[in-house]
Amino acid sequence: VSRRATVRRAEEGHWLGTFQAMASRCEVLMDVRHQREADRLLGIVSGEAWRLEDKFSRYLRGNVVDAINHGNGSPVEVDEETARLLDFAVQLHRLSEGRFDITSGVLGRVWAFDGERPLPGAEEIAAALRLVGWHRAQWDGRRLRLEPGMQIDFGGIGKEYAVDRAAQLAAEATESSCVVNFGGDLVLSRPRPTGEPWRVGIEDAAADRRAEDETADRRATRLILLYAGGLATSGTTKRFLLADGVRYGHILDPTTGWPVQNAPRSVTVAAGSCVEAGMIATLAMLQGAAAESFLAAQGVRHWIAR
Amino acid sequence: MQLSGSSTPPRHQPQPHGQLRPRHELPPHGQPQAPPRPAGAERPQGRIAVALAAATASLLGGGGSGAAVAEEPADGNWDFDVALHSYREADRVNDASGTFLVRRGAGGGREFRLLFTIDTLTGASASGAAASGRAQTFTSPSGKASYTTPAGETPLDPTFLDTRIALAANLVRPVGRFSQIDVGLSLSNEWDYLHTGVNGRLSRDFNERRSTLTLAAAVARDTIDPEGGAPLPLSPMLPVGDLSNKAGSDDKTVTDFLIGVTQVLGRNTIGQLNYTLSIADGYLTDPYKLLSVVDRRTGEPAPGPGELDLYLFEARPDSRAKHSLFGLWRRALGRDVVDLSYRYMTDDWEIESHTLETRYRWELGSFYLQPHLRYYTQSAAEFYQGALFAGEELPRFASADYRLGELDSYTVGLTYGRPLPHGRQWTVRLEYYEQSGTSPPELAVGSLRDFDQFPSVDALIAETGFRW
Repeated sequence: VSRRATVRRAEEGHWLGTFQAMASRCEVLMDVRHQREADRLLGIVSGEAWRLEDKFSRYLRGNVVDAINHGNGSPVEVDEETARLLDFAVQLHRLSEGRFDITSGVLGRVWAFDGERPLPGAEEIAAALRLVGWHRAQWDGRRLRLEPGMQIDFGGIGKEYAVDRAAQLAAEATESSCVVNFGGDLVLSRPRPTGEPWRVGIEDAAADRRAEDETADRRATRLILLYAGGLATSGTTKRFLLADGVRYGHILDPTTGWPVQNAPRSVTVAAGSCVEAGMIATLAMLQGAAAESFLAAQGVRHWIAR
Repeated sequence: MQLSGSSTPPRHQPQPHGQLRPRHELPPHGQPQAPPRPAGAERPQGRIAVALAAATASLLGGGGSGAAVAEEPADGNWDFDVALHSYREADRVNDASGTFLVRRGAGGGREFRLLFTIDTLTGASASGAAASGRAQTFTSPSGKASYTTPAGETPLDPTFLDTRIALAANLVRPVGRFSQIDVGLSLSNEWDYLHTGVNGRLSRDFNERRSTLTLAAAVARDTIDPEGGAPLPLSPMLPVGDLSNKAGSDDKTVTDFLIGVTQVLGRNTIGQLNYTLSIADGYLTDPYKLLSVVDRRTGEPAPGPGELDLYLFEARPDSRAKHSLFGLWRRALGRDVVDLSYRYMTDDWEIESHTLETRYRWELGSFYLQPHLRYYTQSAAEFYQGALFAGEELPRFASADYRLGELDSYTVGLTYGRPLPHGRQWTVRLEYYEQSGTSPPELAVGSLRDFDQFPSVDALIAETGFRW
């Protein structure tokens, strides 16, 4: 994938930088006056995105995740940033009563969400579950040891973290307001000094379905006025498994090894940071049919599509 | 008339949570799903948002201060605000009003606003005549009846009743990347008064949107058609049935200009400075206000036409130029917002006023409280006098309207606001207002000294509003 970022003037007047990272189209909207300022900011944001992609991607060799996943039962000492992410994952594991688990990726090997196929067998699932569960990991705040065969995956946190980190760097680099948007998960570096909102589009899965008959890849968007904080969306309508006429969404519950039933098609949450928004959206998906009541209890602005 | 930028908060305000207005989207379920779910069934979780915010703060080294979002007011999206307002002076004027605001976003920063107001004024207001040691009889403005004020009491015109209907329409649209224009029409009508006006505002952002310059202008043409006709200035109040000193209607033109700067003063602070020039021309007199004519030594009322004592209708200059300077400082303190403002006004009637005002919006989770304090003080107009003296030359202009006298007032209030799901919000405001003035020296003669010639006025203000 080419690591190239381009900037252009958007119709509305701000500068729009785009690049590709973390399997997403990434955008930076910048309220700066000159192109060189926009270029500089885009360099900072894209640089941070690529740094974090290199560091935390589980598909790359030689990074910290690779080292942990191939520790073969030995403890791996991690740097301070990784330690903070792991501490955060521990908190999430506790807050979600085990449903959010960075070791659950192994389950994905037995569940393939690519259309119509038989369900995996109970033994297959049980075998995968023996390699899943944060309680099997040993983490002392500095060193992490996994059982052989276990794996961690920052996929559920990494992009949101990268959005917030990049926005922090942008806020340090300029007094102007920027929107950092990685594939629909976004945050403002700071409110616009004038108090005016940024107009951002979020994918509207409900409207998507209404528009199904029209052009296939036409994505319906809902326009949101964002004054401060961030938005994140969890869930897609695209990946599912159809077995015996039952549709299974791709969200797996590591406490059971099964897909979460009755999960919404997508949940979008607004919160003070992209990480918070993303985690609440993810935990809401993990609640299945209870997503609405869970979200209502959080007191956050949200949009659910079923 | 007020220019939108002159007294209301600037449009650059930190957006509080009350602005959030998303809507849930809950389409019906798709196909029925049989859940072949093994053990470990779903159990809804409670509130984790606070713990999550703390965990995020450790991850990112500092917390965000919450999101503020709204949905694009796209075509077909309407927003409504309704408010009921009551202002009750003890034993004086009562004003009850309702406002209804409709906003329709047209996308791309364009917006159409329509404000409808209806208000009803009842009760009595001080006529300007001085309190006296004996009962005083007045002819009502229509010239068809009379009323009597008991000895020692401030003469009030008890026939005060009016209903006003007002309509204001505005269209806002961006011009280019950094500018916005707002043009509007206003219209209001009551029994004796018709107001028509046009207004326009142009604002432009500079300095990477950290500064905004606003220019605004408004022109209003008002016609007053007083009950019984407009009295000749400084002519005597005549007995019932005699309308020979009253004639028809009159009008005035008011032109306002505003220049203002809003400046971002750091991450959490905004400052605003406005200068307003307001020029009024035409009939500026209050056709219902009187002055007592008294004896300079005894303070006793001078005899007038028929059985009446002598009261003259007031006379004001036919032009007035007001200059005002307004400064506002607003700061966000976490989720709370504090603001402090000061206004200085001076005019060629020699009134000078100072207004100091502060508000604190205190966010308390599911609701907010906003205490409000305001202090106002003004000096008297040069032609303000409590009474005229029998046998002395009449001044060119004279008014005993307490609103042109030397006075102070303060207001204390509290607003409770409760944001509700789906962007709705409910607010309740309660305020207490007290005004006290300095009795004019002309009234410190003879028997007039025995009475309170500038009684204080206190009022209770209650308002409730709902937005959806």
